Amino acid sequence: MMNGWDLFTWLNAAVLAGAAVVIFSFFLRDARGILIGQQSTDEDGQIDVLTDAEPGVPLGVPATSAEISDQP
Amino acid sequence: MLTHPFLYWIDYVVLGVYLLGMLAIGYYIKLKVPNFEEFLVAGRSMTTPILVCTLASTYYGLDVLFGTSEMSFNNGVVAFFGYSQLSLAVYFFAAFALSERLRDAKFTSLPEILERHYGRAAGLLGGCASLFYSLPALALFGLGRMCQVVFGFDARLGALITGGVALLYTLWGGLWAVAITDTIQFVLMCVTLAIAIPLLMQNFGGFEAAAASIPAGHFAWFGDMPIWLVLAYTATGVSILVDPGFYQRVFAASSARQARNAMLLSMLIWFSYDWLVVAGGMLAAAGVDIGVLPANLHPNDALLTAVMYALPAGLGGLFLAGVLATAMSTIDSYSLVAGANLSYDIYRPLATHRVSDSELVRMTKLGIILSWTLGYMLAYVFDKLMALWVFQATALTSTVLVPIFICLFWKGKKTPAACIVSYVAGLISVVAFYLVVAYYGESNETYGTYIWTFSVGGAEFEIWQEYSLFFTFPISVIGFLIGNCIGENYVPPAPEEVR
Repeated sequence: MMNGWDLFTWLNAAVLAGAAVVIFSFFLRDARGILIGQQSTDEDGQIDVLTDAEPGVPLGVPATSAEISDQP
Repeated sequence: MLTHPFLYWIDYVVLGVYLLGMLAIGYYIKLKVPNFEEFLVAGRSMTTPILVCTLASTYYGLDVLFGTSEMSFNNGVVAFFGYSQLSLAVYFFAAFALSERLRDAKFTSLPEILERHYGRAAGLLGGCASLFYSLPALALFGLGRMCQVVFGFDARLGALITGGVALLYTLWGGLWAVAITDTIQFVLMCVTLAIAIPLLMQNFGGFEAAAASIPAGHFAWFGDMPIWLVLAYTATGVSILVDPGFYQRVFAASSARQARNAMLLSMLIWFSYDWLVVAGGMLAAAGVDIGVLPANLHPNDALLTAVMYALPAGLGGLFLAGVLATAMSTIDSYSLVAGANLSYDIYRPLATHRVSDSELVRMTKLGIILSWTLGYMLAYVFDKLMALWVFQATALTSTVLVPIFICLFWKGKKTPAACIVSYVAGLISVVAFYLVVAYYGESNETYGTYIWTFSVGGAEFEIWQEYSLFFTFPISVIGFLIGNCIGENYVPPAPEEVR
């Protein structure tokens, strides 16, 4: 039977590597919007990448003129 | 000592590709950052994934990788349970209590919070404290030492080259370049550690074999560490409550919810990362005991030496790139923060003319170069870099924590004098505390600190340098209460008067 400390180490290795890969894949999902600067914000403050983005818009500038919607 | 024979040509190729890749990202981003808000807080549009990457990689530097593993090499699992994990409670508080208040108020920097609530003088003082804290001396020193140990380079040259890469891409692309390179660096530092430690475990027979060769005390959760020291280590986590890098990321978030979620996910990452670092240090101790690793192995080099021994060609280079990433992600973030402190928090309020956006960007870039250079010089002036870093963190916490928390959470009276008296009282007390403990105390090589031992009425007491916050925090609170009796609440100038 595996030593408890060994098991804990394996678990943490799996969590660390798995979390890094999953978070990176979510980053890649957002990457196009980040790199071309076309983003929109839904009511929950989630940024969605627009599919009809125009290149050349500065980084991080929202696609619409509306401010981020979760402002008080 | 680890030297060239552990490295193969493929490892050098991996490292070269990593460094060039970081420069390429910075250069690409350079073309897309048009104004100060974009340069400093990424247009306030960062989403959870990129926030997690930049938070997790920035806050964990070489001090964690080598410092925590050194502690577990010497003392065992107490490095995890007694040192690292209690701070997570503070991070949890930061995630829920701070994210919303900071993000929604649309601040640009930590000292600006003081400026808005207590006036220009308070903002300037906050800028100085934040600048001092953000000088990247420890990370640059760590990079140099790694280059010396692994590649046989002169440490100063190594720090100049690798730290110079971080400086260049930060200058080019501001927070966007920092965050995107942090993302690559985050993946590298997590994945390489997650591969390396299980491999190391298999090489050395796991913890069962380790238990046979290292002291049983290494497996005691809190070891024989004094309770006050456990509390003091927990208190080091308090620094995140005023960490300018953390604040900058919250300001850069697209919403408070994204900032909070990023913080919670980062805690999961830090938990696993901490354990793997601790496990690596303990396994290295076992490796020394069974004769696989050199008997004279320095505890600070233990993790790196053990992992390089265990990893095959190519993966070793990837791990080293992960180590470089750990340091570079700290250098780039804090150089940017320090640059903004110089331009936005110190130069702008003092300027006699209205400072334009492009001038702010220019001054921030100049500030980045100045802070990097100061950090580089400090790295090779001080002998005890870890002690310097602890002093930097304590000085910031002792000076700005009380005024910032009171203005964020207290709706009652809070005068500019209260902020200034609290700041000055905290600063004087932290300097006095360090001088007294260093003068009367003795250097302890195991813990890398000064300990002052004295007797009162036959009972012996120990005061460690790490206990400073127990003394300086109450003094800062008392200073605030005294100062709050002077004057009235700060009234911000009308918009047309604001520069």
